Amino acid sequence: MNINRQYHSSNCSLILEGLSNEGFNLDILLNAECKIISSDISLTGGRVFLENLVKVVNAYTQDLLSGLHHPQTLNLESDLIHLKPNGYLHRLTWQKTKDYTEDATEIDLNTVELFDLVEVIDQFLSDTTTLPDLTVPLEPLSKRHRQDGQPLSEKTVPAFVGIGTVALAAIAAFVIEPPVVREPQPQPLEGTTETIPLNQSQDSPNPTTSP
Amino acid sequence: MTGYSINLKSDSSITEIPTAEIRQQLPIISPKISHFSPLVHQRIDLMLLGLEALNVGGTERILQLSQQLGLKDIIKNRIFLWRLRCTNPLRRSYQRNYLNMEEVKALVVLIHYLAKSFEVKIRQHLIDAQLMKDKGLPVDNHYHLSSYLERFRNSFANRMNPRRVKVMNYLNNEDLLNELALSVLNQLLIAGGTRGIERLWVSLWDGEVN
Repeated sequence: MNINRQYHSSNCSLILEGLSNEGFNLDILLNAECKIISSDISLTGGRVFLENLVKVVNAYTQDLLSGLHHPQTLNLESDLIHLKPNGYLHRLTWQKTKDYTEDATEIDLNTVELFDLVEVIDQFLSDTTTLPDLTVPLEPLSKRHRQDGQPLSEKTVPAFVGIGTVALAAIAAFVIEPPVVREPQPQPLEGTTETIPLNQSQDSPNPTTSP
Repeated sequence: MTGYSINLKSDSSITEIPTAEIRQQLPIISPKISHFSPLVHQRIDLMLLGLEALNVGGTERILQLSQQLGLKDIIKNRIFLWRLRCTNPLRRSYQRNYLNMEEVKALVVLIHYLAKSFEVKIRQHLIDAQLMKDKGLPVDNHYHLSSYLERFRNSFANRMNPRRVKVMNYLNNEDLLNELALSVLNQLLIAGGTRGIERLWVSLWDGEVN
C-alpha cells in the first residue's frame, strides 16, 4: 500500500509518495512533487531529486542568514538544481537530466515564496516518520569562507596609501640634491697679539694689541 | 527538534513556553570558541532592532516575551537587555565585552519566537517591498512599509555610533539603510520558521569555526 505525505505552506506544497518497510513510516520514496503555486510549476522526481532539492535550498537559506556562500553540493546523477540571487528575487533552476538535452526549468521566487519552500522542506525533515534516513544536517562554514563585511578594496586601500606615501618620499629624497659638504678652510687671524721675547731688542716698539 | 505551534497573544493571557530544553539542545559546535566575533553581536542586535521597529512599543514586547520563555534568569530587565545589546560594536554605548554562549542562545530563542509572532506582518512588508520594486517605485512610498522603515532608520541613527565608517555610510544613504532594514526582515522571516532556531544558531557559527 502506498503511503502519502503532504506538507503545505501558503505558496508551496511538497507531496511524497512511497512505501513502508514496516509500520506507518514512509521508508522508500517512489515520487516527490514540489509545487510552486504562484508559478503553477511542479518539480518532480525520485530520491535524487528530493535530496538535491533539500541540499540546495538548505545551503541557500543559510546564505541569506549569514551572508556567506554555502556550497550547493549535489548528486550529479540527475535533477541538477541550483539557487542563486536574481536581483531582489531568487532564481531556482532545475535540469532534469544531466546531459542537457532539454531546457532547464527556471523559476524566480520572491523571499516569501522561498521561505514557504524552506518551510515545507523543514516540515518534512522534522517528520521522523518519513524517510528518516534522509538527513541534511546544518553545518557552519569554516573561517576561510569568512568575509568580515568589509570589501577587499576597503581593506587594501590603507596599505596602498602607506606604500604610496613611502614611495613618494623616496622619490622626493632622490630628486632633492644632497647638501655639498665642504671641508673647513683655515682663516687668517686678524689683530693677533705678537709676543717678542725681551732679549731680542729693546728698541723694538712695544707690541700693540688691537682691540 | 520537534515541530511546535505558536500562539502568542498581545493581551494579558500569557502562556509560558519552556525553552530550557531547546536551549540545551543547541550544540556548542566548537568548544574552543568562548565567544562569537563582533560581527555576530552586530547581527543579533540588528535583528532585535528590526523586531522593535515592527511594532510600536516593541521593547516592552521583547521583555514580556522573554519572561514567557523562561529567560528571566538571563534577560532580567530592561537594563540587562540593553547591556547585552551594547556588545554590538556599532553602538554608541559599545561596552567592549562579549555575550557568553548562554546569552546568545537566549537571544536566538527570543528572536525566533518574536519573529514567529510577527510572521504575518513580516510577510506583508516583504510582499509590499517586492511590489514597489516591481513597479520601479521607492520602497519608502508604501504607507505601511514606510512606518517600519522609518522606525528602523530612526532607531539606527539614535543608537549607532556615527563615528564608525560603516554607520556613517548607512546614515548618509537612506536607500542603503532601507535595504538593510529589508534584509533584516528576510533573516527574521527565516528565523521564525519551523527550524528557525536551529538555522539561526548554526548561521552564527558561519566563518567562526576552523
